[in-house]
Amino acid sequence: MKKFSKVLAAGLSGAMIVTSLVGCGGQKATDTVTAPAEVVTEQAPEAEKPAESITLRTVSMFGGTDPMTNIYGSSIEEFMKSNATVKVEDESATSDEQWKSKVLIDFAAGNEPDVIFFFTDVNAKPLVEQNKVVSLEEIKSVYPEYASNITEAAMASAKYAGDGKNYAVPVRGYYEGIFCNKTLFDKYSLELPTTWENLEKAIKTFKENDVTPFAAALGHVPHYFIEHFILAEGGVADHSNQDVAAVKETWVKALTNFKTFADMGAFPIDTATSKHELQQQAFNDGKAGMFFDGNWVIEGITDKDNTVIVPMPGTGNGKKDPSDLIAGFSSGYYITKKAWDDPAKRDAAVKFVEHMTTTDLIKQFVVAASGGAPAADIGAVEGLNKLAAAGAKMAGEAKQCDSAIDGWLSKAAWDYLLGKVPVIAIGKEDAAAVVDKIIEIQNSNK
Amino acid sequence: MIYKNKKIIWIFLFPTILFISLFLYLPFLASLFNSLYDIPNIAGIGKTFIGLKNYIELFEDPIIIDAIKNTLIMMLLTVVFELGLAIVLALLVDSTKVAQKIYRTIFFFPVVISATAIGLMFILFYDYNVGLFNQALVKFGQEPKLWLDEGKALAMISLPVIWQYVGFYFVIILTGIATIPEDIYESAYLEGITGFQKVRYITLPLIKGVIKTCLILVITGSLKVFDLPWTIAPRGMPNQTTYLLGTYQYKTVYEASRVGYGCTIAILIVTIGLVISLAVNKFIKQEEL
Amino acid sequence: METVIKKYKTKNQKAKPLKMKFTLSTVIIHVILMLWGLTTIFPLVWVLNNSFKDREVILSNSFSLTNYANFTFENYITAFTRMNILRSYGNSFIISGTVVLGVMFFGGLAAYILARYKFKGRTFIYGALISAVLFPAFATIVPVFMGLYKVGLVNKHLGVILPQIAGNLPFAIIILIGFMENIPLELEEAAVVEGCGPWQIFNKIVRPISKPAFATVGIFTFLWSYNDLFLQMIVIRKNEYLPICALLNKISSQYGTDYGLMTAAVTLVIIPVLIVYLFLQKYIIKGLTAGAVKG
Repeated sequence: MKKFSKVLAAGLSGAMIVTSLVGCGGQKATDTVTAPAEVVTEQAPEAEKPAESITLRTVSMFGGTDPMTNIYGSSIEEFMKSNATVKVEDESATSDEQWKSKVLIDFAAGNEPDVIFFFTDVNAKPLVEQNKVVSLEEIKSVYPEYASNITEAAMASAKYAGDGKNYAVPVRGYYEGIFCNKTLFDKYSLELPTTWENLEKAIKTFKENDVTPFAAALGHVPHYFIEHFILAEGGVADHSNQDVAAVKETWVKALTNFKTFADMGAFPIDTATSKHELQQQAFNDGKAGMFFDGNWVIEGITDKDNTVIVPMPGTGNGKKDPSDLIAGFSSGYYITKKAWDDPAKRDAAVKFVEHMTTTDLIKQFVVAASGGAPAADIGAVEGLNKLAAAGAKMAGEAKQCDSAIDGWLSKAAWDYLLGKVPVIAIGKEDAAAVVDKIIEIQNSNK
Repeated sequence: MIYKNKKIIWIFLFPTILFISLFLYLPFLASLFNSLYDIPNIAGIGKTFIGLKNYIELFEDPIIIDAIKNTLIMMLLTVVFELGLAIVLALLVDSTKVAQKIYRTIFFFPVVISATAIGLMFILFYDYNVGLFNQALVKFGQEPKLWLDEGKALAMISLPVIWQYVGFYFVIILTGIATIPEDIYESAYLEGITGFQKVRYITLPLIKGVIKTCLILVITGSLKVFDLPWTIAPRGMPNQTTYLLGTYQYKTVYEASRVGYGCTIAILIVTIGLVISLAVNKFIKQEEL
Repeated sequence: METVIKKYKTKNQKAKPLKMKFTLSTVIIHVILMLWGLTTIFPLVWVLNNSFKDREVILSNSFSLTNYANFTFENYITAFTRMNILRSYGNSFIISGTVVLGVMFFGGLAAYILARYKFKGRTFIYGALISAVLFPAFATIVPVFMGLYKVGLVNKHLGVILPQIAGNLPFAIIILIGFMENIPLELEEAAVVEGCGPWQIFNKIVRPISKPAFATVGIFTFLWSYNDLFLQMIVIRKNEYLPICALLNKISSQYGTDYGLMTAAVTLVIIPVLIVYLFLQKYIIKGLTAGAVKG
C-alpha cells in the first residue's frame, strides 16, 4: 500500500508545510484578543515524588483499527517503562456521537480523566467554559518548556475559538481538497479544476459523457461543499468571519451554488439518499471525476498514483487565492484541572503529554495516517505515498489556511444547514432564508 | 373473587416499583424539567432556562408534523403487516407437524442481527448504482429505479423495519398458542371441526390477551424506532421528508445537540404512545375475573 | 394441588387427535413457510459470507459468494487477536444472564398481580409501564450514570445489571401479563379450594404453566440486555469487564467502517444469542396445560 520510496517532494513539503503554515496561521482575519497573561505565583512542586505509584487516567480518540492506535499504544508502554512510578490507564475509543457523549457525561459527573486527547473546536465548549481544563498559558508558567516544539502556526490554529486561548497541545492537522481522477481528466482532455472555468468545464464535459462529475452524497455528507463554496466565494476573510450576518451575501451566493451545480448535473442522481462511503466507492471505481474530502480519506483511495488533489478554485471575484485551503488543527492533548490541582498527578500528566507530543512521535503519526500537517517541524518525511505527498505539498504551498466552519458554528446551526442542503439543491428552499435562520440560531446560542 | 387478600399486591409489586422509579421514572421526570431549558449537550453542561419556548417551537415545527404523519403511517403498516404476518405464520406453523422446530428457529434470525448490519444490507439493496435490486432490473432489461425517492422512501424504509420484527411477534404468538390447553380442542375435534373453524372460534379468541399485548408493543415500537431507519435514511433523507418521531428525536439530541428540545419531543412521544395504547387496552376488553 | 398437576403430565403423553395427512393444504402451507424462511435466512448468510471478504471488496461485491481468491479469515483474526473475545463473552453472559433472572423473577411477580388482582392503582401502573417503554435512553442515562458513579458502581457488572433490569421490566411485564391473562382461571380456583395462598398459587401453578411465557421473555430480555451498547459503553471502561457488543464496537475505525470486520463482529455477536434461543426454545412447547381444565 504505502510506497517506501524517498520522495524529495515529501522532504521539501515537510519543510514547506511548516514554513507556510506560519503564513496560514498568521493571517486569520479575526484574531481574537488574547486575555492578558495571568501571572501565576506557583510554589515549586513537591520536592520528593511519592514512592507509591500514581495512576494516570488517559482518554483519546485513537481506537479500533486506526493506524495510529498501535503507535499510541506502544508510546504509552514506553512511557510507563521510563516512568516506573506511573501507571497509565487508558480508555481510548474511536470518536463517534456516543463516545463524545460519554466524555461529556464523565466531565459532568466528576469522573473526567487526567489527560484527554479531544477536539479543540466547538465540541470543547463544555470543557473549556466550565473550567475543567488547564490553559497552556498556565501550564507554561510552571513548565516553560511545555509544548515548546509545537509550531506557532499549529498553536494559532488549535486555539479554542470562544476565548482565543490554547488549551490543548496539537499533534496533527488536517487539510481538505478536491480529489481528481487524473485518468478521467486526461481521457477527456480536461484541465484540473484549478480555476472556476476549468471546474465548470469539467462538470459539463463529464456530464455529457455519462461520468458523474462529483461523487457526492449531499443528503449525507455535504460538509465539504458547504465549506468550499463559502471559501471560494469569500476567501479566507469571509470564511473565517464568525459574524455570519456580516458576510451574509457571501454565504447566500455560496449556498446558491448547490442549486446551480445541481442544475448543471454535477451531482449523481441519487445524491439526496446516497451515502458518502458508497460515493467514495464510486470514485474509486472510476465512475466519478471528482470527490471532495480530506487527508484522512487517502488511505481509502485505491488508485493513489492516478489520483491528485487540488485546492478549491475561487469563484473569480478575487477574494480567494488559488492556493488557500481549508485546513487546521482541531484536536490535541488536554490536562484536566482535576489532574493539575492534584500535586501528585500534575508532574506525571505533564510528562505524559510531553512524551506523547515529541517531534519524533508526531512524525510517526503523520506517516502512519498517510499525511496531514504535523504540529512540529518534522523535517523530511519518508514513506508517504504519492497522493499523500502531493497533499502535503498542496498544504505546504497554501498561502492561507482556515479551519472548518463547523469548528466554530454552533452545532444546532450547523445541523440545520446540513439538513437544508439537499433541499436547496432541488430548489425547494431559498438560500437566503436558510442563512437568515442560521444567523437566528447562532444568535440564540451565544 | 378468589383474590381477596390485597396486602400481597404491594409486596409482589414492590421490587418492580422500586427498580422502575429509581432507574426510569426519577431520571425521566428530570427530563420533564429539562424540556423547559435549552441544553446544548447531553451532559447538561451550560443549560439555560427558557420556559415554554421548546413547546412553542414544537407546535410550529413543520418537521414534527411530517414526523408524526410518517410515524402513524409506519404504525399502521406495522400493525397490519408485521403483526398480521406474525399471526398468520404462527397459526401456520402451529398447524404443521413436521419441521416446526426448524421454522421456529429460522424465523427468529432477523431479530438477533443488529440493525446496523440489516441496514447496511438494505442500503446495498436500494443503492442506485451498485444495489442488488437495480442490478436485477438491469439484467432483465429494465431501467434502474431510484428506490429512495420522495414517493417511495417511506415504504422502502418501513420494509426492513416491518420484516425484522415479524419473527419477534411470531414467537410471542406461538407461545400464546402453546399455552392453550390441548383438551379444549378435544371436544371440538370429536365433532369434526375444520382447521379454519378451530382457528376462528377457539384459537384466536383464546389468545386475545396476547394479541392485545402485541398490538400495544407494536404501537410503542413504531413510536420509538430509529436504529434501522437512521442507518438507511439518516437525517430524514431524501430532503427531510422521511423523519419519524424516533429519528427526529435522535437527530435533535445527538446531531443538533439540543437536549432540551429533545426532551420535549420525548414527552410528545410518550404522550401519544400512552393515549393510543390505553385506548387499545380499553377497546379490547378482557374476560372479567 | 398435586393431583391437578399430575393430570397435566399424564394427558401430555396423549397422541395427537388428528392423523397426519399429506394434503394440498399442507403443501401450500409449507411453501409459504419456506418462502418466508428464505427471507429470514438470507441476511444471516449474507453477513457470514461477507465476514470472509476483504474490506475493499465488500461494498462492490457484497452479494456475490466468495471465490477462493477473495476468501480470508483476516477479519476474524483481527478480531480475536486485538481483543480477548472469550472473556467478553463471559462478561456478557454474566451480565445478561443475571438480568434475565432478575427480570423473570421480579417481573413474574408483578405481572401475576397485575393480571389477576383488581385494585385501584392497576390501570395507573399499567399505563406507567407502557410509558416507561417509550422513555429514550438519553433521557435517563445521565442521572443514572451520576448515581452509579456516586455509589461506585462504574466499571462493575452490577452497574450495568441494575439499570438493565429496570429497563427491561416494563416490556417483560407487559408481555407476561398478556400471557397470564389467558391462563384459565379454573386451575387457580381449584388451588384456592385446596387452601393455597397467593405465593403458593404463583409458585406451583402459574409459574409452571407460564414456562413458555417466561422462556419467551427470557429470550428477549437476554437479547436486549446483550445488545444494549450505550449503557455498557458508559458504565464499563476497562476491557476486562466489557461485554462483547461494547468490545466489538471498539474495533470500528475513524476512517470509515471496515465492513469486513463489521460483519465478522456481527457474526461473533450473534452466536451466543442463537445458542440461548435454541436452549430456551424447548420450553416453548405445547401440551403443558393439557388436561388441566377437565380435571
